Amino acid sequence: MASRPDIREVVDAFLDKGKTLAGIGGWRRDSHQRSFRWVRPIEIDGELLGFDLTVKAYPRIQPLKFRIVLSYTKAIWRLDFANDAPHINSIDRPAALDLGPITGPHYHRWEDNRRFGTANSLPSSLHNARRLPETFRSFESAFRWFCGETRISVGSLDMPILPRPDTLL
Amino acid sequence: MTVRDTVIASMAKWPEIQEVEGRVLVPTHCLYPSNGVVTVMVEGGAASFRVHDGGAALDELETSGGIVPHPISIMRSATRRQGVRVSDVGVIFAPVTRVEDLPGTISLIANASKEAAHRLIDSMRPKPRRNFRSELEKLLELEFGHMTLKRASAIIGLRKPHKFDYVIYVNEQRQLLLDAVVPEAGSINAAVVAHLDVREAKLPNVVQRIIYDDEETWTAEDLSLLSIGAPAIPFSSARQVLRRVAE
Repeated sequence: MASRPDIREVVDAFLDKGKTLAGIGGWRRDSHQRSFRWVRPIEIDGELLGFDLTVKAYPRIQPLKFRIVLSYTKAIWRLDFANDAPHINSIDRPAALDLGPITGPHYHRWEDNRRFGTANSLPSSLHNARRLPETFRSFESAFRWFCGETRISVGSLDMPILPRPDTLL
Repeated sequence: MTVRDTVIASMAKWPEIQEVEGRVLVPTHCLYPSNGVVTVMVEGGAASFRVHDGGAALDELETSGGIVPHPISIMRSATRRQGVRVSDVGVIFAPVTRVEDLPGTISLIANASKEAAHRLIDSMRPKPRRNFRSELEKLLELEFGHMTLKRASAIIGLRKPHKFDYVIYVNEQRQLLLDAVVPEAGSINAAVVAHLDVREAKLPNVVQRIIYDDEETWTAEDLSLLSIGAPAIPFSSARQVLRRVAE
């Protein structure tokens, strides 16, 4: 009987390839009403394999706050654009990373967190993060940067527009 | 400089209390499962305050990609000991707090939020897909035997080719395209997009169905979404329905 592939290698291979966004994006209010969520499945080699790109928006919170999450049932790459959520890295982290605290926008790369997964399961949380470069301080620039880092092509119609505080869905 | 001085100087580098839009944000020394610093929010006037976590514990789950049925119940159970409350939208808060109780209340909310987040992450379901799929495969094997192909070659839709979980060649006049879905955005979207595109191609002799795991909790919205792609069948009725559509 064929053995199951190492799920970490599945993610490695996925990240290594060029990808596009499938379907049509639309904002939905989260089940608990505080935030909005935009989800697009990711297409690779003509197939949707269960990877999703999610943007979580908090239109009532100032200054600007959003998160961008690439997930494969669990988050594998995440950008936290938030000023109200400092972060501390794990003692178990790549040598290039400081312990922190990291204040302000930061991102959790798969490569820095792969160590918390096993052959059969992805990490439940992404413990290690890096500061987001200062050049990316708008949603659009951060979204494009995130998609570039994860090799997702962003077409002219793929860019989500963050909901405003008075958005009704 | 004494060790004490060094430690004090070092601790001064911890994120500071800040005020944003009328809320005071207090970074505590508690950490969420992702190692985010638990930041407690304080709002109010001179004598009484509202202390809460801004929903950050629930955010911790939602940004981990996890699925937990009834998260608010889990949060309430996890935080009961601290005497704090959890709103219906997942914000952990304390009853109105007096100024002399602020430090203790901030500590309680921070610990309650941390506890709740850990409990939520620990409650995240393992992928339900495996058992459901395995049971469905057994059913298809029993009903259709060698006629079932798993992830067969792509079917050309209106816009592009798509692979389906199962393709069943009943006879020359009938081919069943089936997808098995669980209540996760990725699973739902993938099936709906593929089925919709193939349906629009109006292929002759093709019958499409989406089978969903009805032991999971589904929102009406998601079930409606499934039906946009193809008629949706609960797994518990799959045997009867598939027999019927295969006739």
